[in-house]
Amino acid sequence: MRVWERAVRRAELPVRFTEGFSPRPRLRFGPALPTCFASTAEYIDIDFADEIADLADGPTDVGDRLTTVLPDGMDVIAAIAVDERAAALQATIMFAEYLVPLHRVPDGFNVDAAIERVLAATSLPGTVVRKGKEVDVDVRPGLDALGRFDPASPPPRVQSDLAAWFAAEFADLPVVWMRLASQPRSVRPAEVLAHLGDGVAEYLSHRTAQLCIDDDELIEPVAVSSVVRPDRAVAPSAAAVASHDHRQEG
Amino acid sequence: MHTVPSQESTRTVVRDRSGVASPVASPLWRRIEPLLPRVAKPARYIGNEGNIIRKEPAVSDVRWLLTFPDTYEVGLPNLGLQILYELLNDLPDVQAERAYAPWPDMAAVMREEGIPLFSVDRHEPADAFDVLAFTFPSELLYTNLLECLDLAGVPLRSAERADDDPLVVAGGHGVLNPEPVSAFVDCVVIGDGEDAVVDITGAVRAHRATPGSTRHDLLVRLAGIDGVYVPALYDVTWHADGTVASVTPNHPAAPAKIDKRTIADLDAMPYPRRPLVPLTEVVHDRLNVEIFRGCTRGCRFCQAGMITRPVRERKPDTVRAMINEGLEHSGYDDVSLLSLSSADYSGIEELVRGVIDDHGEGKVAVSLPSLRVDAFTVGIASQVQRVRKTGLTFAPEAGTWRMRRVINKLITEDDLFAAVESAYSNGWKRMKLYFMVGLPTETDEDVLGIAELGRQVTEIGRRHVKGASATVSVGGFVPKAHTPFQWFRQDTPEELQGKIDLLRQATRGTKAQLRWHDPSASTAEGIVSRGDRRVADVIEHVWRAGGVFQEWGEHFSLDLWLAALEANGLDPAFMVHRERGRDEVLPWDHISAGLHKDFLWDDWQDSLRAGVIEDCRWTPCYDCGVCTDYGIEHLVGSTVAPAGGSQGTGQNLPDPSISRLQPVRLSVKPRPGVDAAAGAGDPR
Repeated sequence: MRVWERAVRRAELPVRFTEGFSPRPRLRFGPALPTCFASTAEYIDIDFADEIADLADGPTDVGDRLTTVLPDGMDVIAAIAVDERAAALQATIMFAEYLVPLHRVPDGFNVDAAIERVLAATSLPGTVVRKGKEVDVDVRPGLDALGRFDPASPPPRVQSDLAAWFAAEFADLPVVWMRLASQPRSVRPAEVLAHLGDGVAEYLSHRTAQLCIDDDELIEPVAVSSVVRPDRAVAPSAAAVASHDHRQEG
Repeated sequence: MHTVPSQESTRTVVRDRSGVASPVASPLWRRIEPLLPRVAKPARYIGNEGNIIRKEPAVSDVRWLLTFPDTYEVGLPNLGLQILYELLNDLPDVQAERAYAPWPDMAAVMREEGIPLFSVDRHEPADAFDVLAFTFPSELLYTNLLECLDLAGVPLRSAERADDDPLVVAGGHGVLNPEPVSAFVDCVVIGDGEDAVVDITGAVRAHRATPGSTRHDLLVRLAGIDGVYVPALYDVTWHADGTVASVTPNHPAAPAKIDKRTIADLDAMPYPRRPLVPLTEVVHDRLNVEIFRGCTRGCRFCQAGMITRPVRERKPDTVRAMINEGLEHSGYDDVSLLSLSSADYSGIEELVRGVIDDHGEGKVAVSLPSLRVDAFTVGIASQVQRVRKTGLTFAPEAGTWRMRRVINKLITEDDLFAAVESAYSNGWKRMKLYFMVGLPTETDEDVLGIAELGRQVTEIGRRHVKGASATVSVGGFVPKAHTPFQWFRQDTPEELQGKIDLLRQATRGTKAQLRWHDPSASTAEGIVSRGDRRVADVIEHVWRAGGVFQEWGEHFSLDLWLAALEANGLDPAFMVHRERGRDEVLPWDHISAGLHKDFLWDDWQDSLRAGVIEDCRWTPCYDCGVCTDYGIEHLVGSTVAPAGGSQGTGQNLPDPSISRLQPVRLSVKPRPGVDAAAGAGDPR
């Protein structure tokens, strides 16, 4: 959050500030990325005080200016104007997709059989820590899709360059792809891995997409917002910015 | 000593906007990254801060690894390290990176996986560097020096290092008595580091260019640099009673006395220009700008004030330029004006007004740490500290006026009450008051005075704010080298605990909340602060027993230290809880912060009679030795004390004439009753 506040200030964007004694830029984040995950699908809403149209190239300019001042490894991939009454990212994002290389697999591990077994289960008991206490949960309802990653036919929304990079980088590790629920609680890949095999750990996982539901279709937040009808006023406006790669590249 | 950087490009090059170097992942980073999910706060180890300098090293470069022997969160904002980082990287043929002590969870993983201490900038192993430099803000970090050296794969002791091992350098306030770590370091920088690091770089380069030059030849070369102490070139002898008999050079290149380095003109070095902006939460996470160095308030307990003389202010224009440039390049909206007593800066009010005007009302917050205790100072603070008006901290240090005269922290009750009144009436709700116990000549009355001040402060608060409270924070005093209290017998943990218990009783039922530091930590700090070379074995013993991060309550253990002393035939009563005599050779007598030992002794004797000494920045010189010996002077914008300033300026102090230290006009006249030329004091 500090990183974004500073970037917004350094980019000298006409953002709207919070009221009060210690005004801060009005930034609204999507669901948090688990620690040590990389991502190419993070989202942030930034409220502007003025028309973005007044900026040279509108939202694209906003994105470029932010990329220039963001730390290495964090780039704005796309920026669009959205209606300021659009629902919060936290509320509309329903699913997240991940590529997860598997680490420390047991001897004789068969990834396809493990996936089949997990998908066939009607419940996957697990525990999460909530307010310092362990709570029993069922992971199965939050597991929407699970499959072995095959670079020859990449899963949806995994672009070919990312797929190729993953294939080369993790040539000696089995890699799975999964879609997990973000609502009512955000399920983490590690909760699923626990059921794939004893001691299976994630290794440099990557969030590849976050998705909303629109007319029964899975759709990325940037696409949802682009559906804003032209008759709706967009001033003062907000820009939804898809960003990133949280993992350090150097 | 030199590793040619790997040409193997392993990761996509993200961007190259600085034009300096492309952030290509090092082979070591590829081994570190997968381990990070296993440790707490992995952002400590990734670097990638704003304004990071990734300078591709050339074979001809002298490479420095600037290491902070505490956590990343504490070390990242360290101004000294940031200054040297930028300054060294600005030089041609020099390359500098940073490292921080890994937390024990990470250190365990690193040992398990065979990962050496690494830089966070380019994730290079420590042994790729020519110089491993450590900065010590405090002495309890010494065991972390050994932890870092061990992780780096460098032999712990200077004597065990081979020609191709990196040079191990230490600096900072925490090594003004370098003797406890003298076995582990190859050389120590005494005083300001800015010029010294350039000279050390030159020595390393000359050494490299000289065929057949050995490690010992390099040490001899280093000993010729002003302010650089090479412990291996000195021999120490002891008396039968365990006190030091002599410290003498064993090589003609080693001077008998090592005088500190002092930067005369801070304006010539406006560093850091591009402050490092961390990705994760750190302490002091704002733009930090040093407005002056040195302090002559003369607080007798304060090592920082004694060893950084004289006062050297930056010009207001320089400060404003540094602030404006720093804010622009960082995205911070909060600037802290650093010094040992920022309200003492000439024209401080105009300066902060100027900063506000440069950026527009409410856009930038200015904070003044080390607040002087008076209404004038609070007035400035209330104008500029627009954020979070929750707490304000003052440091009266002692509970009675008599005690404050002994330590020469000349804050009257009127100063304190006016400051507090002003703070509460300006909207602050909580006051935090810092005190010490275990001071020279202290009585129960002095200790109870702390509780009484706390009570009175909360009463003033309740006239302005409903539910006003004050925190009274108490620490045990640890005497430091190069101060008038260097001869003092430090209180035992039991004595300190007794005083704390007295305060617990006295504050019961009042609105003053008492907080105190672990008295046993004071003893460990005492061992390392005034120890001699024999303490090296103690430090190594503590480290081998797992005693890292001794500044951290969860890792500190006095038992480790006591066991280490015993194993080495040493005793805390002798090392810490013993008053030293005038004629005793102190372990650090061959190190000079510019202060004459006679001056310190006279000031010590004055303190025992509650005699006070004024600030020589605005009053005639007392000839402490610094300006006269080093041919430098205070660099201040104003020759008069600030209006309304507390601590003995612009006030009629009751009975100031007690002092035996009479002012002299510069150095031409010796102090009355003291034969300065012969170095002999007046009869005892």
